[in-house]
Order: sequence, then structure tokens, then C-alpha cells
Amino acid sequence: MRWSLLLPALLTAMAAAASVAVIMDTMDTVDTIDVMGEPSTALGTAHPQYPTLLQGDPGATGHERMLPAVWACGVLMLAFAAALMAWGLRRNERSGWPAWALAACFVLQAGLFSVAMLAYVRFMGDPSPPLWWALPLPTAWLVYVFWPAQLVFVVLFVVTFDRWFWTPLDEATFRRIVSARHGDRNGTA
Amino acid sequence: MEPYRYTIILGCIGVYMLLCVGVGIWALRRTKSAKDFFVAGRRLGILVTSIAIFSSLISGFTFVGGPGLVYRMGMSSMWMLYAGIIGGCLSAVLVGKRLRLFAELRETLSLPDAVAARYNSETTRFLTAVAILLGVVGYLAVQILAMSLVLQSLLQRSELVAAVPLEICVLAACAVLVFYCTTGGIIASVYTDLVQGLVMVVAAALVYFTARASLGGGFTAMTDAIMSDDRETMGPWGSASMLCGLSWLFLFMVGACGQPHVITKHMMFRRVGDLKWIIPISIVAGMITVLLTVPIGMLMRALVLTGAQPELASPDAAAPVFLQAFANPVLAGVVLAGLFAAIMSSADSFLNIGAAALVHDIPRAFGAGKAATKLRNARLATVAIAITAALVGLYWGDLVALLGAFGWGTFAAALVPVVAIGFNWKRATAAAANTAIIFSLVVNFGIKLFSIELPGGIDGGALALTGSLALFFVVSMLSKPRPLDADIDAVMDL
Repeated sequence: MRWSLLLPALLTAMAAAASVAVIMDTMDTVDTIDVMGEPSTALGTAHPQYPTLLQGDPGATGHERMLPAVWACGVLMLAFAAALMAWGLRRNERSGWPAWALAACFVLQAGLFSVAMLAYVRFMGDPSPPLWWALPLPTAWLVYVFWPAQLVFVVLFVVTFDRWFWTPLDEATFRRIVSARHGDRNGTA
Repeated sequence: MEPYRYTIILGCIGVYMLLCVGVGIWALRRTKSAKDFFVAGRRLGILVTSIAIFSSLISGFTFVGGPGLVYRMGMSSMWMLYAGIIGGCLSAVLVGKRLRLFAELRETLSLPDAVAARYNSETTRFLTAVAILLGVVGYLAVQILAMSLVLQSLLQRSELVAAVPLEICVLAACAVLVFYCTTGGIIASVYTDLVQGLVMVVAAALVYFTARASLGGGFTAMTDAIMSDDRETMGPWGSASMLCGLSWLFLFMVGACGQPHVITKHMMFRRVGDLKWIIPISIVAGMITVLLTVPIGMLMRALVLTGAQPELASPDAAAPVFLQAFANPVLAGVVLAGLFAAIMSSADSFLNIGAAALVHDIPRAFGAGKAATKLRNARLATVAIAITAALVGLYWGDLVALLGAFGWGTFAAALVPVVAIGFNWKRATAAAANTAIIFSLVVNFGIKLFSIELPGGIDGGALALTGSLALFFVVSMLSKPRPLDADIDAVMDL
């Protein structure tokens, strides 16, 4: 696989998805201005009573239209990160089952992210959303499931470190390279 | 109780400061060369390196800015936290191994040294050093200023002294920091990081349980209070736009590979094999600490909305007000020591890499030999950078905010393509590295200097990072790579 082509391709796709979301957002902002007569900022709208607080868009109606593009952008970000990790493996491990294991971790992450987005769709339409461990379901899913599930990458790193990342043979080869380099410099090699 | 309260708090901070000075004196005896000063002689153990990595990453932003962001925007800032685990893995996989290999192979003392070895280019070394120095002065200024403001507030509330000018507080804050950094260099820095990291974990755990108990009904009551005012604030995106959250995820996930104060720690441990345990320890410690500071912001927002607490003067006051209003004095003392620890552990790393850029990298880019990097010069540079940053912090307000807020983005956009991609791709060229660094600095500073608001709430740092990555790939494909040195070529195959 040509990683030097895959990474820019993922980056471009991610930027394209973000651009679509921006276009949707711009249309929503226009709607908001028309309806409410006041613009909202990217970080939130000013709280009517407490100036140090910000609030979300009322009802987040625009979010529904943007969500497919935002979801695609998020999944592509996760794909980009997984591809970068594969890029950092030993050169002869970048294909084969190390790459498939990373791909499986990516699919898991993308799946969990997708569930959070689906839960958010329900959250938007529910006037009294239930709480799950003191948080609304989509937020709870991100905090309690999506985030800690990323530890699968750490586990994979630890378990496969000696085979995919730094083998005893690598250590021996590196020692030879260092000896040759320092020997050359000292004029002894 | 009240008179003793501030005596106890200041006593805890005083003990902590004395501990830092003690570590500085101990490290002085172990610092005999520039190699000891900048890379701790490459003999750090697994635990020390792990805690040094995590405590360098967690600055005053986490302990003061983190709760402040949750107070102001709800769950938006969680997207920065979600990035932490994958970011830590990326940093280890893409940068950690190569940097450690280059460090031993070429006896490098700094990140620009490794960059120069990889690209065989003094221009790239110079641009990397300039990017680091620009980020360091701004980021350090913010750290010193934050520490001084907290100290001033504490001293004034204690009524031990009538009025304390901010300049005196800056002087006091800098004195301890500069003392242990100039005497013990990175050895003092990483061993104080160890103390600071442990203080931070304890402080974060205490904060979590105190915050939980501070409002009857615990977290459910906080969430109910916040959602009855605005339910979107507790939704996954908080008050910010969805693209703002995602751009933070991208910036903090991929950008972790480009934070010089963190990744340079990868040059300091004994063997590449140590990386296997350094990464999980630093990631788990960071996760616990960061997550536990979030409830302060939730609690303060809930209290303000329910009328139990007057509105804060600024979001950054969330943590200090919480400590004064709800924590017992010993807890407040430990947590404030943790806050100082968080600030100082980042600040000492910035001082170290800034000194390396000033006395080692920039002179070498202009032809000075390696022998020019003297220990005395490194110590003088450390003092000079601290004074410059303190002056910037005191008298250049807007620019400090500008540089501080953009520290992460500046480092990420300038350095991720150069080190994370370039260290793993032989086709990458020096021309591409130089283009990416210049582009990232121009875009980052341009967006802030001209107060450009990007559509959809996309973060400026994330845009600069995406652009510099894309440019790096394109220019590398279009330009002719210089032949790699044989040893670098061989190491890049490992």
C-alpha cells in the first residue's frame, strides 16, 4: 500500500467533509439570523443573564442537517490517525496483519463514534432526554465508552511492541549502526 | 478559622517550593555537561520519564483553563480530552522511537539537532529552532503570569501583607523556577516533574471527591441544574459548534506529536525498549488527572445557575473560587501546590528547550561547532529566557494571550509534518519541511493578529496543521530529496 498517497487522500477527504459541513453551517447561520435576528458565535451564544457563560444553539436545529458531514469528518479523522499509526510501524510491518489489527481498532472507534452521533440525533428530538451516569446519553457514551475504548490502541502497542515496533533484531542492528558510526568518526572502522 | 486558612494554604505552597529548590541543589551535583543539562545524560528510568512526559503536558491550562472552559462552554472542551489517548500513542509510534534513535546515533541535544540530522539541512534546523523559541516565549509568559496572579491573589487574601505588586509576585515565581532550572537543568526539571506529577494526581483526586460532595445530589444534580437552563451545554458538543469540537479533536490528537516540551523527553530514557511501558503509564496518569479537574467547571456553572454562588468575575476564576469556597485549607493547599506544580512542570520544560534553541541550535545553524554549547551559556540562556518571558507576561498583555492560546497550535502546525511524517518517510525533503514551518507560522499568527474568525468555528491551529501537512506532502512529492546519510537511512528502516 502506498502510505504516502493514502495519508494525503484521507486528509483531503477530511477537509472536503469539513467544507461541506461549513457550507451547511453557513446556511444554518443565515437561517438563525433570519429567525432570531441575532447571530450566534462559533463558541456559543451569550447567556442572557450571566455574561461569563455561553449557551448552545437553541434546539440545535441546524445540527441535524450538518450531522452527516460532521460524522464523515470525524470518521475520516479517526482513519487518518489509524493510518498515521500504521505509518509508524516497522517498515516491513506496514502491511499484513499488523495493519489489519490497526484497521480493526479504527473500525471499533468509528463504530463507537457513530453510535454517539446516532444517540445525539435522539437527544436533539427528545424534550426530556434521560441521563446515564449523570450525563445525557450521547455525552455519557463519549465519556464512558468512546474515550476509554481508545485504550485498545495502548494495549495493542504494549502487546505487540516486541514484534511490530522494536524487535531484538532491531536492537542488534541499531547497535551495529551506532558502532559503525562512532567507529567511523574515531577513524577506527 | 479564616486567618489560619491562608497560613495553611501558603504553608503547603511554601513546602512545595522548598522541595523544588532541594531537588535543584541535588541535581546540581549530577549536572556536569551540556548533555546532562539538556538530555539528562540519556539515563532516565521508565517511571521518571513517564511522569515527566505527562506532567510536562499538563500545564496551568489544565488546572485553571480546563475548569474555566467547562464552566463557560459546558462539554465542548471534552473534545480536547478525547484526543489524549490516541495522541499519546501517535507521539510514541511516530516520533518517540525515531527521536531516541537519532539522539543516540548523532548525540543530539535538542529536537532541532535531530531535525538537522534527518534532513541534512541547517536551514531546517534554524526554522525549527525559531518556531520553538517563538512558541516558548509566549507559552512561558502565560505560565509565569498565571502563577504570579494566583500568588498575588493568595497573598492579598491572606492579609499577611497589605498590597503586593504583581512584579514582586512575578519575581518570586521566577526565582524558584529559574533556580532549579539553571542549577540542575533537565535533570532537576524531570525529577521535580516526578514530584509535581504525583502532587497533581493527588490534587485531582481530592478535587473530584470534594466537587462531587459540594452540591447535594452529586453529579446528577449538577447536570439537572445545567440542563434546565440550556440542555445543549451538556450535550456532546457543549455550547460550541460541532466543527469547533472536531477541530479540537484533530488538533490535540495529531498535534501531540509536535509538542517539543513533551517529545524531547523521548531523547532522555535509557533504551528504546523502555518506550513499551513509558507510554501506557504517562497516558493513564494523564487521563486520570485531566478527567478529575472537569467537575470543578460543572459544579461552578451549576452553582451560579441555581443562584447558590454569585457569577464569577471570569471563567478562569472557577478553580480558585471553588478552592476558597468549598475546600478545607489543607485540601486547598495541596490543590494549589498541584496547580503550581502543573504550571512549573511545563514552564521548566519550556525553559530547557528554549535555552537549547538559543545557545545550541541557532548558533549551530550559522556554523558554530558543537563544542560552542557550554554549560555556562545554557544557564545564562535559561535566565535570559525567563526574564524575557516575565517581561512579556507583565507588559505585553495582548500578545501573551495571543501566543499562549496558540502555543499548542503553533507547535503542532510547525512541527508535526517535520517530525511525525518526515522522521518516517524517506521521500520527505528539507524544502517541504521549511515550507511547512513557514506556512504554519504565517497562518497561525496571521489568523490571530488579524482576529480572523474561521467559518463553522474551525480552530485556527487545526486549519494551519491541515494546511502544513498537505503542503508537506505536496512539496515533498515535487522536490528532489537530498541523499540521506547512510546511518540515518539505515535507522529509518528500523
